[in-house]
This record gives sequence, C-alpha cells and structure tokens, in this order.
Amino acid sequence: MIIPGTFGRDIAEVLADPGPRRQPLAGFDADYHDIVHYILKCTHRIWEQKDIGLIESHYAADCPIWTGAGPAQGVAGVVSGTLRTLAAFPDRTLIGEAVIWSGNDRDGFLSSHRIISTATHHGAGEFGPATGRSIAFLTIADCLCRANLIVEEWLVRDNSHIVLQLGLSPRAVAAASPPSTAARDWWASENARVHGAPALAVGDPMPDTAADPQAFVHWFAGAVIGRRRLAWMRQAYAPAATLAAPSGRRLIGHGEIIGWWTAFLSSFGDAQLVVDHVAVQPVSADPADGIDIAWRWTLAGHHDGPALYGPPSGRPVVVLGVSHWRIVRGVIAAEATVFDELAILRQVMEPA
Amino acid sequence: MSHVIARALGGDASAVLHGVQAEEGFAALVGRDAVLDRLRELAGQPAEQAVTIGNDAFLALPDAHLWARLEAGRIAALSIIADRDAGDANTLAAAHPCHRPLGELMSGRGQLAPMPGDGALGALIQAFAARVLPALAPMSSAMPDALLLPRTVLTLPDGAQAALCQLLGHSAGRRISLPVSLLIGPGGTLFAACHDPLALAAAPLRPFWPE
Repeated sequence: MIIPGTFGRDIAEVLADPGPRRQPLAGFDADYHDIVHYILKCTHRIWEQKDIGLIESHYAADCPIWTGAGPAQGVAGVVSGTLRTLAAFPDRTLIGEAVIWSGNDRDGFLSSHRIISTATHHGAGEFGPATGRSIAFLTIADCLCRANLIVEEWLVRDNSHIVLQLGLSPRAVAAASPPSTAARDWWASENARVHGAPALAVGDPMPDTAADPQAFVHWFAGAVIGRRRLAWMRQAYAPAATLAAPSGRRLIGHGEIIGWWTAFLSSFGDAQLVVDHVAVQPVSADPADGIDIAWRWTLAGHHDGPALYGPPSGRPVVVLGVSHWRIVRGVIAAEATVFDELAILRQVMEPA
Repeated sequence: MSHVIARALGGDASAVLHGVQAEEGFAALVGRDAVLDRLRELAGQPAEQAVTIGNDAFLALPDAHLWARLEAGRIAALSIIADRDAGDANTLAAAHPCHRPLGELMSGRGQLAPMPGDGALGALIQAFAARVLPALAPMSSAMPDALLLPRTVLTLPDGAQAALCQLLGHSAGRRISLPVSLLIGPGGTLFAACHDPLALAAAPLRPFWPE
C-alpha cells in the first residue's frame, strides 16, 4: 500500500483524515494513521496550534538533535527552542512540501520533512530585535521516530536566507554568535569521520533512477561530487530542472545548477562528502508522477576558495546538508538542498 | 466544469492547494491566500485559451498568461506572466535584492554552437538567438546574451503550441531569469509572446544581497 504523501493533499484534509491506520505503528498514538500523518499532524499541533507541551510526548527525553551549528540534547531544549522561535515569529506557518520516509515501526521510521515556512518577525530572538518583516524560508527535519517519539533529529534550516530577508548581514550575525565548545568538538569529530570514510565505490555510468534510486544517490555523491565529474549533472538533471539552494537561491537549468555546485565545491577544494541516509517514496499512486528521494549528507573540507564564504581562511569546515529530489522520467526535475550557511561562516571566522 | 485556472481566478479556493507557490517575474508568493489575492487582481477578463494536459494547465488572458502545475487536479505551483506597466520598476527592484550570478547560460558548450532544438519551438528559439524576431525584441534588446530555456510545452487542440520558457541573460552585472510565455503556430509562426515589462525593467536595478 502506498502511504499518501503531500502530493495533491490539502493540509485541512490531512488533519481531518479519519483513517483507518494504513501501516503498523506500534506504540504510536491512536489518532495517527501513518508516518506521514504523524509528522504533518504533530507539526501542526506543536507549531501552529502552539501545543508546545505536546513535545514531551513526541520527543524522547534524551533525544539528540544535530544541526549545522552543533548538537543539542533533550526534550527540554526542544521545548525552549520552540518557544523562543515562536516568540520571535508567532505567526509562523509550516507548509509541508514533502515527507519522504523509510523504515518501519520495529526498526524506526526515518522521516525527511521539507517545510516552507512563512512568518513575521514580530519579536526579539536569535536574529536580534523584531524587524516586523515578513519572510519565507526552507527547513528540512530528518527525524528518527519510534513508538510516537522522535529519538534522534537532524535539522537543517536556511538561516542565511532568514537573515538576508530581515535586512541583516550573515557575516555580522555569525560573528555575533560564536560557536559553542560542543559545536567545535562535534565539527572536529565529523571532520575526522568524513575524511576517514572510504570513497564510494561507484562506476561511471549513471544508474537507472527508477530501478535503483539508492545507487543513483551514491553515483551522484561518489562520482559527480566526489570525483568532480560535474559534466554528468547534464545527464542527471532535466534541462530546465530547478534547484532551491541555501540563501534562498532559486536556480534553473544546467548552467546555473552546475554553477552553484562549482562555487560550493570550489570553496572547499579538498571537500569530501559522505551519504548518511537515503529515503525513497513514490510521489503518488501514478508512476508518471515520479519518485521523491531524500538524502542526508555531510561534507568536510578546508575553506580555500572565495566563491561563497569570503576570503579563504584555511579553516576546516563541516556542512550538514539534506537534499530532496523529485525524479520525473528518470532525471531530477526539481531539487531542494538545505544547509545552514551561518554555521559555515562561524567555522570560517574562527580564529586560527 | 470550468478550467482550474479560471476557477482560481474566480476566487475558488478549492482549485488551489493550501501550500501553492507562485512566481511572478523574480518574486515568489507562498500560500493560497497570497496567490488568490494576486489572481483577484487579474480576474474579470475573458480567457482566450485554456488547456489542461496531464498535470499541466495553461490559460491565456488578453494581457496575462498563467501556467499551473497540478497535483490531483488542483494548483500546486503557478507561473504568472502579466503585461505589467514598467513605470514602477525602481520600487519593485528595491524590494527584491538578488544574488550575484552563478554559472553560465549555455552549459558545457564552450566554443561550440548551441545544440539546435526540435520542432517549431526549437526553430523559434534559434530565431530568437539570431535576433530576427521583432516581437521578442524587448527581451533580446534588454540583454545581449539573452536566451530562452523551454520549461513546459503543451500542444493545443488546434495544433498550436504553448510554451513556458525561462528568459535568461545578463544586464548590469545581474543574472536576469524570468518566465515568459509563447504561443506558436504549427509552422513555427509566433502567434503571441507574453512577458512582464515591469520585471524586465526592474531586474537590472535589483540591489545585491550583502555578502
């Protein structure tokens, strides 16, 4: 049975979904009918209905949360972080663009939830005093879920786009919030993990995206990115493919997409990238609508190029990223890649 | 039942998904309320063309072309190309800073000539590149390196083609990237071209985001 995703569904219909339960969900609350329903409904209840306390029954007490800016742990931090964000952006709406999941209730579901938020900066918060500006920004939350609890989360948000829309300078905001010791330690361990990982053993030909989407992801990461065979992006992407990239960039076509990857990779000449998770789901019951792929990755390298993040600092940099692909007729028709460029700036601005 | 875009123009919220996103020029609208508010401003004109093929829908008004991407028959994404007066270009530009350009327009061709496209649209794109289409002169004269990238092409019942393209080029150090809409006869004759003079005039005036 195909679990319905966000395709063609209005949020009011998702929330009013009478069920029945569509897949085994041992330990989940009775009013959740499938993993997509769980993610969309609890997001609405916590963030839009402001039922912040619901976090207590939806996050494990010791849940680790990984962001580009460093790690956090525990449900208390999730509650306080949610309150702070809502104090700054009280009318935030969280429009679910996709929930791309894998797993099951025994081993855990991994849900990759892409959200476009609209919000007004009405209150003081992590980005400074209220500006009154209305903004929109992308977030992807990768959540490992078991028995109604999120037990681990990887959260990436386009913070540089938020900062730009608020009329602020990303470099100034990054400089005003230096990294914690925990963040520095995590970046160091991630750097070692990525550079210690063996190169992905992939061949040259592009795998069939429909027959083996996992192999396609590994080919893209290992060959196209890993071996810098950027020309092969013209096989992987439709000619008029779109890419939503950090800082709110909206790119179209092979030239702009390859251009963005070129600038990003040139910023970290020795960059290596590892694939941390892949999930694949059909877009709808109609195969012609294609498949959605979510893949989370970590990149590590040294800041030795000026293309995107200022003059080369030589500093080691770790990037936690999540990419979502809509595959139609065998090629990428649309991509959203999210990572925190403020976290990159904090790393390149670290004193030597 | 009337065309899905016509229903949206008439304010029928059920024609539009709550999470709809629309593009107009270089600006984006997010959410049903914002999109219906904008469509309300375009309503009241008779549709000259309206077609739905698969998940793509197209509707032509006398001074606007609308392209929709459908999900389960409802509008999930919308491109609005309206013939807006260019007089307020400075105001529009100031509200929409931009990034510096990344990448090239003609990917991977280097010194080679562009790959010829197929059919009537391909011929038209070549004619545009050769600057021999007076009807598209406002677009090409604004950018010496302008090109058209086809995004969605629909064959209409009368055999004509409707094409949503992206106009790409450079002006004043900015990457200009705007949707345009074309109606092409079976022989490659350009019936109509719809572009947004306001967005075209404003694009080179946009301030850069701080770096």
